[in-house]
Amino acid sequence: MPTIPLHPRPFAPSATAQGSNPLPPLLRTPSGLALLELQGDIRFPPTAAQASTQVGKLVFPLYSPDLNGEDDTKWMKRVYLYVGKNQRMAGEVKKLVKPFAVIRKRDVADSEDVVMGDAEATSTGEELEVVEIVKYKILFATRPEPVGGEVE
Amino acid sequence: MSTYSDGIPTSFDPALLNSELEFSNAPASNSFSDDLHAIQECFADEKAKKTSAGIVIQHRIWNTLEAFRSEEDYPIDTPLKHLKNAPLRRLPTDSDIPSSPPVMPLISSPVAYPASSLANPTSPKKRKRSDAERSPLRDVPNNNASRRLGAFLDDSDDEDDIAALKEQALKRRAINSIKDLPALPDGMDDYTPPASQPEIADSEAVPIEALDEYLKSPSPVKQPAARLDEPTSAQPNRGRVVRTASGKPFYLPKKIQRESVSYEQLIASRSDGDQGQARQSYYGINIHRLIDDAKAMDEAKSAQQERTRAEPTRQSVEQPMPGKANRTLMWTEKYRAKKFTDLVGDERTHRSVLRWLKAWDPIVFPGAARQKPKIAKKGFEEEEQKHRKILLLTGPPGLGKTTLAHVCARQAGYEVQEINASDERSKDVVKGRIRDMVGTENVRGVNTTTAGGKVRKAGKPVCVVVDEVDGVVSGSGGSGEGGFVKALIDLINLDDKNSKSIGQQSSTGPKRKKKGDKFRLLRPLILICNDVYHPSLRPLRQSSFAEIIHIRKPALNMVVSRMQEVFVKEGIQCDSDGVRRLCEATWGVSTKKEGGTGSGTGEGDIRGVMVVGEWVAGRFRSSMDPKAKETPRLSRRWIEDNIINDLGHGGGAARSLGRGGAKDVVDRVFREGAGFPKQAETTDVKTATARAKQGVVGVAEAAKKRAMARLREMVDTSGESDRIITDCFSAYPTKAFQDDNYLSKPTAAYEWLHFHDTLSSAVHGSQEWELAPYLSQSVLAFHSLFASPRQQSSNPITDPDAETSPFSGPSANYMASEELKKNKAQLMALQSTLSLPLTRQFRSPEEMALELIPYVLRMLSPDVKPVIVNTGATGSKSVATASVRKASEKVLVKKAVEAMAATGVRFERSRVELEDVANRTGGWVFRMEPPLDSLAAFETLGGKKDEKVRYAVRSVLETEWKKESVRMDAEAAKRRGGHLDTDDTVEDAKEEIDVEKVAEENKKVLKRDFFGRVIKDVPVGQGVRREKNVVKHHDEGRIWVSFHEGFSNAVRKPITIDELMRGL
Repeated sequence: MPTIPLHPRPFAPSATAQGSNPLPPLLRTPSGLALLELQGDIRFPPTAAQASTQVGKLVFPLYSPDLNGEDDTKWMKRVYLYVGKNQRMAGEVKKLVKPFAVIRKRDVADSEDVVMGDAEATSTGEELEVVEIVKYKILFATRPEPVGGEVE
Repeated sequence: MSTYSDGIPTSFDPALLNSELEFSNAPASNSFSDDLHAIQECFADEKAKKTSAGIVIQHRIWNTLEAFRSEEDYPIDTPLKHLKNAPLRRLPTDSDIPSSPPVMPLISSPVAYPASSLANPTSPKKRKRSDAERSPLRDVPNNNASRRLGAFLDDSDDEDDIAALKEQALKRRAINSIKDLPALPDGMDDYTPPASQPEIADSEAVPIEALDEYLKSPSPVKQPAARLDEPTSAQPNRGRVVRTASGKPFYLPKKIQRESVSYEQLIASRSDGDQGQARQSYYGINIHRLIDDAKAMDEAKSAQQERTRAEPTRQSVEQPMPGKANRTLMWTEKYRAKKFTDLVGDERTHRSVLRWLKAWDPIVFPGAARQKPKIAKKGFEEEEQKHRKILLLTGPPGLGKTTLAHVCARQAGYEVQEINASDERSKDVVKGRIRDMVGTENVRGVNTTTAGGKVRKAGKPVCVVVDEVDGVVSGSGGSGEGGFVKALIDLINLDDKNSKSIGQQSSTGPKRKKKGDKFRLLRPLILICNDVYHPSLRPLRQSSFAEIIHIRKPALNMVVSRMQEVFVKEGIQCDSDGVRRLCEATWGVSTKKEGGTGSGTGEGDIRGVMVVGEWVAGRFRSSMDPKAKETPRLSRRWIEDNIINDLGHGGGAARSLGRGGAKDVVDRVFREGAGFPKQAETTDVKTATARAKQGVVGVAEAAKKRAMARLREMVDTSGESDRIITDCFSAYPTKAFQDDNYLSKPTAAYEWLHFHDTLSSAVHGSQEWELAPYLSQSVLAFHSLFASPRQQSSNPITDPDAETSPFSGPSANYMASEELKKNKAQLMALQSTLSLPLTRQFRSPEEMALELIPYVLRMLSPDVKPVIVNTGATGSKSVATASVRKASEKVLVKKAVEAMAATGVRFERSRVELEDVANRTGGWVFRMEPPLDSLAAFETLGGKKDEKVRYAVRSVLETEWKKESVRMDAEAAKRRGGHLDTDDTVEDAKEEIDVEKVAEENKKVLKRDFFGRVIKDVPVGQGVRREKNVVKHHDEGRIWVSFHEGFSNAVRKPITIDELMRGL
């Protein structure tokens, strides 16, 4: 049985990500990732394959911590995801029954993993670290609605 | 005018009226009017005499109304009246006039019409018309009211008249003219026309007979006069002569008023008077006397019954008569076993049935079953595998299979749901009813609980008993051959599969959702049949699903003791000896004394014995002398004296012979004495005398003769002489026969076969039915030739899987022809899938069979040794893929794939449940589709190839074919797209990519989108071609979500760390 050392996440979150994160604090994660669940494929032009592409915008229409306070959870009922120019998906924020851990390979200095993907490589001192613990997900269960192109 | 309309109800049918009027036209009645007068006068005289003499003639009204009758109406004769007055017709009325027809009241109005209007009734047509016009105005009640009294009064009067007529015959002749008649009083003439009006009121009160009379009266004119007189006429009969408008004089007899006589009186007087005449009338017989007589007879009869009943009643009192339902129930029902301990027969058999049922307990009564420890539970899981899902009870009729099933089911706590021959049993029944019954946790009485909302107490689980399964197939035409059994087997297969999957679930953890339904056999299913070797049951028999329990004949002792018990319960004292004899006689078993080895036709048939026993009991009771002091016993002697002859062969109570069917007959053909018991000749007087008459010599010959006769009877009753002969023909080589060194017997047999063929074709082909009786002769000839006393030790039935030839048994030729048809159909199907050049090459299925199939099969099983690569780490999930490495083998494979492409043959991976336990995975098999290999499979051709090798080869072929098909698809798509490139080099380059792609695809499961179309997953790196298309259709920077409708069938599965790391 191969074992791999798994490190807890670095305690200090990257401040830069934190600061610029527009998400509600509930969804906020140190690295700025959020778990998105939708039933379907996101299609985008192939040219965008290499670079990061902006798929759309997440909007929390009911989220207004100024009015309702931080503890309010009503905003979780409605989340909009504008995809491209013409689609809007309505979803909600849900708490995961089991939180997910996002792990990544830790860069160990001595292992130059040339044979990536090879099963042999695991035993040669790879290590994992937990990047995130995701407790909430944004679930889009319904079919996207068409919206006018003026959204942008 | 309106006066006489009374007679016709509004409902009167004008058509009928017309027809009657036609009648009225026929004779010219005028000329006879004088005679009529004379008659009437005679009547009048007679009546006057009678009156004076005090003779009562009822219904004066009748006579009064005679006056209204017009002469033209005499001949009127309705069909109805016809019947009624049939005797009247016989009267010797010498005159030409139609004998005074008593007319139906209905006719009165057309008849009467001229009387009132009278203007000139010459044209009947006119009258008719006017009647029709008037019909709505007519008054109904009169008619109805009068009709009620109708029948007898009328008739009686007729009789009176008849009598008068008879007497006055001479007189009537004498009187020729009206001139002799008394002068007409002047005043009378005046009354004629207006008479009608006052009469309306009267006529309503007048009963129908009055109308009749009125019709008969010769002169319509005088009628009013008569009527007017009527009230006052206390005077004795004095007729009047009246004149019509045309000046014709008529004699009107005077109505004589009489006091109405009560009906009782009338009857009394008449009955006293002359019996002969009274008999003619309806009520001329003293009804009271009749009633009294009837009563007396009833009493006498009941008294007699009492007397006759007296004795039996007393007996039944002194003997225990069980239940009050004994009248209605037959013994077979009455003494049907109710408890397990009641069952007659081999107890082990019964126990095994019960055990089988009990094995269901963990399924049916999950909680209620006593809680076993875990280990035991586990043991059951394995036991369940062994536990067959269906119980097939088989045995000859009457052994109590049904009873056994019912009793055991009840004992085990089930409610029996029986489906027997009276129910429809088709494939659909299995799919619907049985499936529902068996597949749901069914307790009887579910219906009531849902409907009534109240729970019935102690609902029992259902046990389905399908009775007479062997009759299923032959009976149902619509559902097709073997529909029922096949459906049943499908059901069990489904259950098997599902149960296995459940087992896997529990072991592997992750729930595997079946696409099919989760049918499980949750209730026991018992099939009952007589003949387990019935062709329709073959699949069931050969599959391992059914637990077959042969019900054996019970020991004679048990049956005898049981019967004795029954007899005692029925109040008949009997000896066990007698009962034994009865059983033997019923079954046609030879007694020990007669030393027979032969088996009876219905040995062990308890039901038969019961039926016969009931009959014997009835006979015994009736034969008992009630006077005898000591109760008689049903002794052996009595049985032999009274019953045996009837029960014996040819007797009136003989049980059916032909129950064995063709198989049994064939069996008997090859046995000495045809397997019939030898009867003691000496005891049988009839046969002894017959023998003496025939001059038969030896005992053996007599026995043979008898056996022949009975065998012939069996053949005739079976009605399947063709089949029997065929079976005999196929069976005789395996039988041992004696005294034949030069094959003379087979030679003779062939002669007989030819004879039978000729006969059979004559009978069935050209309907020469008179030859039908001879159809059995060939069978008998076989018997005569081949019967041997040697016991057929090796019963072919006992080892059905010993058959090596593909088609054997009686229906071999049929099976062969079926198979031929099937194969032909397959070839045709294959031909349709052939590529065009091949189709041209092989035009007929025969050609294909000879020239294509063998080579195709050869090509499709290339002699390669594939290497199994990639044995999956997890074993169950990933499939081992085989591949070929050698170049030469690759060529072979390529050729094979080409052959596949050309012929349309595919390999389908399917799961088969292998019987042997060694192969634990059950097994996947690549089936050839269409199954050409079955066409060229010769069982005698040994050298079975290794299954695994074949599997590997086929899997290689299949994967190669997939690649090929993808390539061809791509090519086709390209061709459709317009740029048709025939350039091979480009193709090759493409193929390189495709091969990889296909390899990728093979790993994945074929993905399908919502519409079932195959999604060609394009790997990211290679998807260039497709993306170009995409770009073509959509503008550059477009981003969108393609939503997947429905629910996600994403599966969460555990992954290994390797896989995890690979992804990172």
